[in-house]
Amino acid sequence: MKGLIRKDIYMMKTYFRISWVIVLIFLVVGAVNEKASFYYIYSCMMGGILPISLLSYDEKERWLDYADTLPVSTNTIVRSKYLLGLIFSVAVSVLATISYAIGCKVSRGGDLSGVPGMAATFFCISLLPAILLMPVIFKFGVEKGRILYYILFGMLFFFAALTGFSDQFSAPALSLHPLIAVPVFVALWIGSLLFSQVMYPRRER
Amino acid sequence: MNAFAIRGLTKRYDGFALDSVTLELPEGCILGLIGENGAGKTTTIKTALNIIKKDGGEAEIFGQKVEGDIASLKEDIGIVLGEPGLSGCLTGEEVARIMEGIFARWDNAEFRRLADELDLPLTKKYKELSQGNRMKLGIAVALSHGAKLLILDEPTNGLDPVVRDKVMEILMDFTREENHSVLISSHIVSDLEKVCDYIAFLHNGKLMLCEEKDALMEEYGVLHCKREDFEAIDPAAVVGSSDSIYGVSAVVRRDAVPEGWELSPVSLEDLFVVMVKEA
Repeated sequence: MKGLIRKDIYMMKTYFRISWVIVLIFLVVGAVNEKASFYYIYSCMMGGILPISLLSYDEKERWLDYADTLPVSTNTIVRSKYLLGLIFSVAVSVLATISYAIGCKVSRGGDLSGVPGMAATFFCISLLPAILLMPVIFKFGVEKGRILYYILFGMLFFFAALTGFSDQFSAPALSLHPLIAVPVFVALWIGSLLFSQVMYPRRER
Repeated sequence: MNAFAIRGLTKRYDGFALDSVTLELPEGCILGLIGENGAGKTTTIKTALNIIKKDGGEAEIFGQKVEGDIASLKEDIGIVLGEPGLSGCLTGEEVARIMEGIFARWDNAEFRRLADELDLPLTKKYKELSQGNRMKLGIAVALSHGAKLLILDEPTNGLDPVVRDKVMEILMDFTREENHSVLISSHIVSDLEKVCDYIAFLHNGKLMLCEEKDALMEEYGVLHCKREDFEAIDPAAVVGSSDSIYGVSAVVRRDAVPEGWELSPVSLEDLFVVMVKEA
């Protein structure tokens, strides 16, 4: 698995440096903006979508075919992508939480009581792309997975639009209960991982 | 012991079927799988390695049945199936570091030695490499982790004759070790003629023959004669023939030709072409 992760890190350094810059810019903007939900949701989704983008590159550059010739099992390929996704999710949600906490101090009256709930929200949102998209892409490939990808992003922008128009949907109203939401989303993430492990070997080669 | 064996291997697609192919590669030998484009060489290899699901038959590598996930078995196999699917942003150096984390017995010094021998630049990005250099990179990776069996599908595609010759030399060096074996598929028959101990012909998904190369050369010969002389030959002895203004040129079974007739050696290419035409 070490080799697979190393490959993805090399690819990320080339292809997705700009994505991390955008995430950081959005989080800075979020910290100084009173109605910041959109920036946080977008950043978390962007962090969560990175392993899927890497998987798209793998398919386009025929890495998945090449990996069939290497001593790595299909389960290892699936697990490496999920592990990388989890690392990105943790990273982006930690950054978003720091930004949110700074924002609370600077532009939202200094009340930090909503930070744990928002941290849970950020983490759960960042896990969503992997939970929903990975099994589809591992089974059907990027082309078919793209349809779901557009639906997911459509939902994101619909949600973002709502948060922009109504205080009802802005933070901290988006806040999830950490002790309920995080275990539920982690369980969904594990379920998605196991499902992908079943689906990937059945992919047409 | 056989390094590689397939028995009755079958795979059906719409419009093409790999039809019950049986092959054996003894340890320490090189088996050349010859077939025109679309004959089923890649399908044979991928099905044998369980990369694509078979519809029938079985495959064995080092006496172990190829079933389910064979990741650990692949530690002992160097596989090249055309150009490696590597990311365009990776350099040869980075590929080596990736493979170090994938193969348990990755040998960086050997990889560098091979890159040097094949004149492969390791600092260039994969997208900047020519088709030939990409192929060289795949070959260098396949040979740098202590494999005992090489499975190479069209490994000389895109290589110039000098490099092709170098690759064949490397393969012959590889089989100097007693238990090292190579299965190599190609439609460049002249490459295989130089190095193979065994030859298999595949046409339209069917195995036409699988024999020791030397036995094949002893079994068949080329007869050049006049049309009227040719008609005296037993038709069962003739594999295929062609007419020209100079007479008839025919690939024949040596044992069925009457004594006294002069036969010249047959090349694998001639034999293959004639067999495919007559099939």
